[in-house]
Amino acid sequence: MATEILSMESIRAGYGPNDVLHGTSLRVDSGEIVALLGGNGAGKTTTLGILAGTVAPRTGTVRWMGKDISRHSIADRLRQGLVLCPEGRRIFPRLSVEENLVAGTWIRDPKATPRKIREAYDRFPILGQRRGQLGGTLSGGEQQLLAIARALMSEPKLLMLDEPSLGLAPLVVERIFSILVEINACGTPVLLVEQNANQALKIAHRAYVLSTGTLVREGTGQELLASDEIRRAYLGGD
Amino acid sequence: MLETLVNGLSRGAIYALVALGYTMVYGILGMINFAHGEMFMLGMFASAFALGALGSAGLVSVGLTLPIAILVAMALSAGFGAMNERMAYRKLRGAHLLAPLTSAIGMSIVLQNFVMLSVTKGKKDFPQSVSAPLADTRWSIGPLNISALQVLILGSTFVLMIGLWFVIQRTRLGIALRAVAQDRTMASLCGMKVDHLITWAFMIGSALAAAAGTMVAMYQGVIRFDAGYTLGLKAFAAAVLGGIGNIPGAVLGGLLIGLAEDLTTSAVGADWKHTSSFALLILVLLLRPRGLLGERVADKV
Repeated sequence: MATEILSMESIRAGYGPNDVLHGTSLRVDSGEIVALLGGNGAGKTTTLGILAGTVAPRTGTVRWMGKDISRHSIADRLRQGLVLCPEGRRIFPRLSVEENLVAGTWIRDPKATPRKIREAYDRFPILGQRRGQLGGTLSGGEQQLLAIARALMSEPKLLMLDEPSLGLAPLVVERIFSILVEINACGTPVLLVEQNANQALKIAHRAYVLSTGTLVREGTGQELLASDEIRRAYLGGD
Repeated sequence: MLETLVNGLSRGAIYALVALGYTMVYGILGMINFAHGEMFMLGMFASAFALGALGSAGLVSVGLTLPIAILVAMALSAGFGAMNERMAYRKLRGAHLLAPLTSAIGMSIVLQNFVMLSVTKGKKDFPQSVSAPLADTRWSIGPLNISALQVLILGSTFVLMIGLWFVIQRTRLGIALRAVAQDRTMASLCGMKVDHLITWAFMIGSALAAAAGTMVAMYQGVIRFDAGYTLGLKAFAAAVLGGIGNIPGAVLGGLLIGLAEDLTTSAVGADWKHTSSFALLILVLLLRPRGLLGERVADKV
């Protein structure tokens, strides 16, 4: 029986006078890959911001392992294992690959860093080959690998990713998604925000569809993939 | 000629030490710290008082008192640097660029007047117990005649620069400082406390300026509350000349301006030395608007 590890309840949030989220609730259970889908401006990134602590909710609570963490800082949430790999990868362009990885260990015991770096290179040999190269000189796909590796350095108990497939070639996207499945298979739940709905639904156990700040549908990946109506209305084209 | 070069390098080393503070704060915040010259000045006074206190306590051994005085000056200026960041900059994060610039100039005026009113508005003698023997000990190496004080200035500047390079390039703190300089949002997503790291940049820069202040004070023998103004301007010019935000650039810029001043002094006369250093700055900026190493942003903090 899966237990809930992260949830947000009746969250209202926004910027300036307007709300982006209108009382949105969702949850992630242990062991799951959950996809959060929706078009531009639906509130997906804001939802991740609420969970990671970069956006303060106007009302509502965020719960982590049953505890209210709505007022916890980003660093506190990171220490508890809530790690966000943000949109656009945000590699430090003028830090080397290895230094980017070290940046991910900031909130963890530095003594473990050398071991964790070795593990990262075992998992992603291309990063090992490029360890001294500046992050900004990597290709888009390599940068996404580095962003995921850096997030893993923070030792996530839940990994949140914002549009990891953005701007990548289809083959690279497949690689990234298979890595997410591997990470999940090792026991880390994944919350995945995607515009690439078809790909995301193929790996997701469950998914939410968000439209202009309101959850309009929840279901298993298979259910949503099969629903023509959902595909037409919210997931766009193909 | 050789002596002129050594004089220029010693002067340039001082400029470089102060320029590093400008460039670090610019690198991490994208703003000029207009109170940075005051950190240099406070270092002068702090080491003067430390040497005075040690002297009246009966300690006169240069090998002991001087390192203590430099450390006291560095620690005190680091504290003022942190205060400056908190009061003049942090409160105005996100405000228009001109707001922290103005508050920093205000901070600079307050600190100058504080020293002027609480110490003296005239010149204060720097304790001679340390500087006199160092200035009087001179060595001749071939055609070169160099004083122990110059050796000390060049040597300790070199040590401090290597130390800074090590911190920036080889430590977790250095990685975090560079990360904050490059992408503040991502740095905070790595759990870094951005405000604390910005304070660190101010503190490190201020400590280096204080060390420079101590050495200039020994060289000149007298100190004044407004000593940070001209020197701060020169060091700022050095940082811009080398490419502001770039650490090796600050060192290069400092050395070049120091050399230009002493070469001009010996060739034309001391009256022209300020003219030459700023003419050099203007010339370089006309040819390379981002400074000599301005494009190699790789080492930006």
